[in-house]
Amino acid sequence: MRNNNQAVVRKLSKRSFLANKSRNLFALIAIVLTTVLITAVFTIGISLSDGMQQMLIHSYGRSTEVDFQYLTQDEAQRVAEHPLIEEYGLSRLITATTEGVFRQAQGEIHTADENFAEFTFSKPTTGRLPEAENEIALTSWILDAMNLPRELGQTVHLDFEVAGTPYSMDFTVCGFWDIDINLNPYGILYISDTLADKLLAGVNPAETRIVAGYYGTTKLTANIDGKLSELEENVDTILRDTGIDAEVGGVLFNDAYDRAGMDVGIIAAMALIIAIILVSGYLLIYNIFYISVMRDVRFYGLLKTIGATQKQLGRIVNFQALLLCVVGIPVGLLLGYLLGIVLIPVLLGFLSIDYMPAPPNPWIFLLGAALALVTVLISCHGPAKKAGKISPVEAVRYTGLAAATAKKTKRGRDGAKISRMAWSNIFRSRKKASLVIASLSVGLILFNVVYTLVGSFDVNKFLQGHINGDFLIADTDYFSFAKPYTPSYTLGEDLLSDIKELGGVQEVAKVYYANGFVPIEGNMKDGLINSHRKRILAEKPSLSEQEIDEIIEKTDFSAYGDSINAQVYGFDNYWLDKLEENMIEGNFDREKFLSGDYLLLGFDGEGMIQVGDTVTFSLDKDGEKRSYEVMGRVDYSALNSLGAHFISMPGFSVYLPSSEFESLANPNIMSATVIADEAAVDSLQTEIGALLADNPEVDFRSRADYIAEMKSDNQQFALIGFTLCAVILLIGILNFVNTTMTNIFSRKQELAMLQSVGMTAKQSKKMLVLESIYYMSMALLVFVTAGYGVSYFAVNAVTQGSAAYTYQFSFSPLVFCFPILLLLAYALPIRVYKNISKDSVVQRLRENE
Amino acid sequence: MSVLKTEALKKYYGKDPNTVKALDGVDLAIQEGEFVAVVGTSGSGKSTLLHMLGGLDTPTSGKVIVGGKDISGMTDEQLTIFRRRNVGFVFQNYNLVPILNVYENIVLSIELDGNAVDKSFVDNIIETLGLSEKKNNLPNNLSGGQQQRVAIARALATKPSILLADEPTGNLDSKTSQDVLGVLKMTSAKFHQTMMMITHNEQIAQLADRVIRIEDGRIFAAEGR
Amino acid sequence: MALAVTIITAIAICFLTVLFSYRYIKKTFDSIDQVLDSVLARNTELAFEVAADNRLSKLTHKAVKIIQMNTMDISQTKQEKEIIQSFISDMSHQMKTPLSGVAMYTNLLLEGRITEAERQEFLSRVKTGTEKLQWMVDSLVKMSRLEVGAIELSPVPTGIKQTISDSISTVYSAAAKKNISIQTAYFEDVSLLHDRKWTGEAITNILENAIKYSSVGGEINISVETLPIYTKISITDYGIGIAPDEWNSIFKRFYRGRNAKGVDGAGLGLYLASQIFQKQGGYILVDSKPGKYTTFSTFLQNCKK
Repeated sequence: MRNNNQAVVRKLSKRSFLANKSRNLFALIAIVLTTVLITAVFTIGISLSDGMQQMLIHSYGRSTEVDFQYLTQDEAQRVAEHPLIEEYGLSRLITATTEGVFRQAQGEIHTADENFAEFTFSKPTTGRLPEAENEIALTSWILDAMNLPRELGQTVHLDFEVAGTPYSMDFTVCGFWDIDINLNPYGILYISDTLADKLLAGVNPAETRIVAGYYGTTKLTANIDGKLSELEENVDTILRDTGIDAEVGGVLFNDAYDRAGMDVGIIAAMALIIAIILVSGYLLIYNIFYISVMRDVRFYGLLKTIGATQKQLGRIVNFQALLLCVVGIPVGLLLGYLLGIVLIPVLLGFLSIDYMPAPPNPWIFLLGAALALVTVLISCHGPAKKAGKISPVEAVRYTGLAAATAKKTKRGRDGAKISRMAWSNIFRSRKKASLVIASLSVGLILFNVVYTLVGSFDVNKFLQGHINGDFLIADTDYFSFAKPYTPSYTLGEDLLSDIKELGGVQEVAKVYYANGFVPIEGNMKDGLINSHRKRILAEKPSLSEQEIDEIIEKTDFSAYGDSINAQVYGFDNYWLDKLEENMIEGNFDREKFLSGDYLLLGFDGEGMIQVGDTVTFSLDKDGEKRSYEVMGRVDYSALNSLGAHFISMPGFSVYLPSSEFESLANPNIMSATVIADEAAVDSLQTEIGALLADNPEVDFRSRADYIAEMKSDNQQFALIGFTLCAVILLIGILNFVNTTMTNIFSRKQELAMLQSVGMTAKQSKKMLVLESIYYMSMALLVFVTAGYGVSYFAVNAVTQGSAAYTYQFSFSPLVFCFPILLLLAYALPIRVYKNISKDSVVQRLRENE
Repeated sequence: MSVLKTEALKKYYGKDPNTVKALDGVDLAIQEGEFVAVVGTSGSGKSTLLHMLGGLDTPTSGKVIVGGKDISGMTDEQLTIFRRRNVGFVFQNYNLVPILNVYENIVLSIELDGNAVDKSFVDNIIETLGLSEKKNNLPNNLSGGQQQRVAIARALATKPSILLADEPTGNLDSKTSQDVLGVLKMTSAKFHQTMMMITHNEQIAQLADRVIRIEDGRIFAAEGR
Repeated sequence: MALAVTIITAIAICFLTVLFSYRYIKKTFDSIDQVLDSVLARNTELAFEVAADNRLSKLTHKAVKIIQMNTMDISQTKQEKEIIQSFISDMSHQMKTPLSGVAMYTNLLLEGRITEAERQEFLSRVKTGTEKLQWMVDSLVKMSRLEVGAIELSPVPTGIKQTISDSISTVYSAAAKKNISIQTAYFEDVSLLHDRKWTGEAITNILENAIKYSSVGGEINISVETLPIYTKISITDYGIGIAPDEWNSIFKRFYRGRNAKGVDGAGLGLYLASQIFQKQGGYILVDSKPGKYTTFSTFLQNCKK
């Protein structure tokens, strides 16, 4: 049974705590710093992940766990009543249309109840869901595309067909909401149930879901009772009980939840950063307590003599550390959280991750506190054990010198030169020395890495992805990401020739664009069928070949309209080199390409086209058809700066020489790139601006604009990186300061003794300064060797996959760090020495405490 | 019955050829209630002897039996607890715990063992040693003689089997020395406390019931009063 | 279903906890029982660890102490008996010499055949002898009572000046005979806790010693100094001195210094004085340079305020 002697240990701990004010301050700062950093990282990581999950959910379109996509009304009823269904929303599909403004992005007409709208983020922000027959609620971009103002009461005209029956109707807008066209490239329209009933009269969803069209099918989206891990099981139960076939009913689990938990990448990054922080924090706190114990050797030895056991002494140390944690950790948690919150938007701006703010996750604080506490306890464990092991005899006789090193002899040369004394002194406590050097080095290495990374920003590499030449001129819509690009015909030839006339302009390189309509026939049709086959297989893998064939036969490809969309780009000669550079299949034959009989393939999501095929399309819906042979395939992602980045599904993109467009009656110039003399860039900026002043629909960007944008991203990264750096460096410096101070303080007697045998104050200072400079030099040595080594590998790893960074070696970190740190190493010991040599030599010698 | 006994006690430091024979075969026995002085020059081994007897260090060979218990083979932890319960120490430089006041210093050993303090006994000691007015003072607020008296009080408070004093008057001027010496003698008698005192000073040694001389790690001529 | 399992598990845990607690407590009580048995049997070889940081060990340690205290009491009584025994044998031993002297001279006187001068001589020797014996018996009786504790000293707070001057008066004539002057340095009278009669006697003994071992025409100095716990009364003579290796021995019963061959004395004076002072919580220190000086410092406890 444990002895009841805790009270006295606590008393000793408390008193010892109160008697050690300066150490407490240092330790408190250390604990707070470590906690702040840990918490900030957790805040950023976890909040980011939460937010990203939110975003992920948004991108999957709904917040519910499972969809039953193609149910009959009867089935939907049965499912809705099932006890495992926690909550649900219903929506009926009326039809989908690609007429008019829905050419590029399909428009789906549904009904929806309140729940459904909420779960699918389609609740009108202005207005409400439709009630009357002629009311409609829709996504706001539809209004924009139709050139209608975003107001309630507007009249919207729609042409569509339901199971073969065409309709052309007018609706009154009763509500609308915004949607991110990039996330969800389609439009949603809600009509009232009453109208839906009328339109769906005679339509049997049980049929339409097998054949095609899905007219009248009810989608039930729901959250299921129980844990996510049991989701599949529970849904199976529901299906069994309601007698619905999973494939027929179109059961779709929300993948957003599948990826529950954090992105591996984020976890790895967090783990690495936290590891660095923990190591720094550990070193610092360990050192502080270690030094403190060494200072109080006599105290602990005396207690041991009187009868305090190893455990009791250890508890004295640990208790004091815990007291400090009680204050330090909460403060650190709070500050860390605030720091993290402040840094998140900065970080996001840089990484351009889509994010939605999430409420503070309690895990941040729990993990942060736990980790900080564990770090402190582990840091103290060593010193506490040391305190317990102090031999009472040693302590009773303690005279102030550190524990003897293993060395017993020392070769002497030339007597006692100050510099040699200083050098030997460093190694008196190898442990202390290595701790301090390690602590400083961590901060310095990190600094090197961050600095190098920031400095490795390669402007050209970046720009290549965004702009070629010096200025990019295009329709305002081109630069905005709110709507998909549609031919706008705003760039006129005259405008362009005016620009060409401007002084200093070398060339104006154009990119044409047109929507191509590829009739579904011939190999197009085959390609389409193939891709459809693949899709069916993916969704319902259990079907046999025969069954798939049957479905395909029944499929009315008219759902796709009579043609597939193609993005057709026309390039001026200037761009040909770029096309050639980025060929991934086939051979680029310039002459052949310019002849106008060939095209290059870009994006082909469905795998509909092979090199060597012939593709036929018309550049207007009913325009004349042209045929081209596919010469090769180009890596379309490399052509970003040419604006060749809009895609639609199903569909593909092809690249033609501009000659093919020039022959058109009204070719649409998508963008024009101005290549100018360097000297003229500034003046051109103003001139072009003037020219475009009268054309509000046309906008332009200069190289400088993009550089500025990227620079600001870079700056944000720099901000984060350097903040982290600064704190860790601070920890290292704190450690250095603490060690130096206590080192000199504990040698008060020894220095007095040296002074009494004739060492002048100047010589003493010289010795102390040399010691401190040796320390610092060793840290800087590590910094130079390991630091550059680590930064080389780390930065290279990043730049491999980066569009904007190339490793750049820089001397600047050295130049920056060396003088400051050496100055510190020089000034600090002198200051401390002044402090301790205030008393006379005799007084200092006599002191035995 | 012997309160303290050693048998062929040896303590050697270092390795050949630099072996230091601090104690080279010491046999002694101290009876209950005796006030013994061990006299020797510096380097004679008297401090080492005290360390062995007090369980502050373990012998190279031989036995140390305190209160009937052989402590020569005890572990560090066992020795610590043994010291707590059986030995009182008075050192040349007082060695009071600076963060505790006089009273707390005195009862420290008792509290380390989780025992209740016998208030009347402790008060008696405090009064006998003339410390009643200084109970709440911190050690840095006391004179050398007062501090040593606190140390003596602390050593007495647990009623140890033996009280070991290492040059108890070493840091005191001659007047205070005599004062403190008297206190040692008087409390030894009054509380029937077995005491062993180490010193190089003949003047002090004369007060003991028995004087043991030690030289080069060996004992010779034990005289008594 | 889950509820039932939970309840059963809870009950099981409770039951097990109670069972283990009971067993643990029982074990503890049994251990204590064992310890007490050892106490009763006066057996110090206990099966439990005496030096460990737990309650049982503490208990064991205290039990051992109790046993030792018991044995101590017994041995103490034995010791006291031994003291008395040795005392009596010392006494008889010491008295043998003068007794045999008296017996011898009485025999010679009874035989006759001696001259008148011889008769006078022998008679005076007998007288001296019996006086000596008388003195010895007196001292011994005093000492025995003191030693064995039959007489209690009754220390009261009273001025020391009076005590000292009483002593000086007692030895004044003896001092005057050898032309020795006794000087007392001035001091403020201080009230000390002491038994005047006995303390006076002790100081007298010391002074007598000082006179005995001083040369003719010498000086004896007395000074008083107050220290924190004690007050020191120093008596310095400039006589033959005492060698350091004798300092511890001179206070022993019947001890006579090496230099004391030619001087009268029984070796009891300092012993008695030392005992008197010790019984009052004080003590005597000696400091001497042979051939130069001897200082006896006597200490008495200050009155507590």
